Amino acid sequence: MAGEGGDAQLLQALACGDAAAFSLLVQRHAPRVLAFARAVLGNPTEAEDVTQDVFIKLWQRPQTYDPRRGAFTTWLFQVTRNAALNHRERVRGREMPWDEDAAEPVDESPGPEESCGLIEDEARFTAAVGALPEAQRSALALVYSQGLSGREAAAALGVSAKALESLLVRAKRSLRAALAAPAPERDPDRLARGDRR
Amino acid sequence: MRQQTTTRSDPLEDLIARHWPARLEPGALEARLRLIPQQFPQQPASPRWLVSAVAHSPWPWLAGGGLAAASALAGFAVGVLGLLAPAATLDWAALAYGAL
Repeated sequence: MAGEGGDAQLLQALACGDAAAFSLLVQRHAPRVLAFARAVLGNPTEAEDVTQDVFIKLWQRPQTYDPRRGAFTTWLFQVTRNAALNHRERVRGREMPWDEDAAEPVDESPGPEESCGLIEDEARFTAAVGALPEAQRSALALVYSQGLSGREAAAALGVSAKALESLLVRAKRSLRAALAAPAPERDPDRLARGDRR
Repeated sequence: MRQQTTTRSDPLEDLIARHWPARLEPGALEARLRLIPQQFPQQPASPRWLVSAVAHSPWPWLAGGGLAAASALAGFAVGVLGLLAPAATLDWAALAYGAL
């Protein structure tokens, strides 16, 4: 993320109740917090709620972040993951644990046949990662999507570097197996309706 | 949705990066986030030195223990005084002990 140094100054200003500093932090970090929350939860609406929870916490208690314990971004991902788990805990029982149909297609403009393939590809990927345990999903997202180093990702997940490596190996093995399996037959009625819920 | 363009050696890692972009533009959410300072009061910072002092120092515990010991000693002293003093003083000693 851009400028940990700049973040430190903004956080100091934030601790003094500077709303402009807060706006800048939102501008800098909200896109990555949202993307990570989306990867963990698989649901765009829930990811937005979690992002809001994270920034409310940052505004209300900026002193919770201790620079001696690591980079601000690592802390932010840690808070995001905890908020996502708490959110999931709150909604458990009244919603599906993983909203497979909430996946958006990749933002390109292919022809109809290609588009159908992309949607199917997206749905298969979403189903495969949705079947992974949350810790494995978070590890994949932090390392391969957010580009964190092993040490940073391990700190964000609260595990050792070795445990992170193990999470990644198991996650990739499960994903490979799921994606290599033959695609399930499409529901012709649903395709005819163009219904993606 | 911004796409990550980095090419990786492992196709699976590339697939993950493509499906999970590192950044998602918050759109309307950003306006909601910017309103947080107006909608939520900022909580005062807890005095860290005090929390840390209580959590990591033996002095608060020693002070508490000392107070308890002093109180027990005072009770014992009043009791002894009550046994040794003449009857008139005994009444006062009993009253004082009761007050304690």
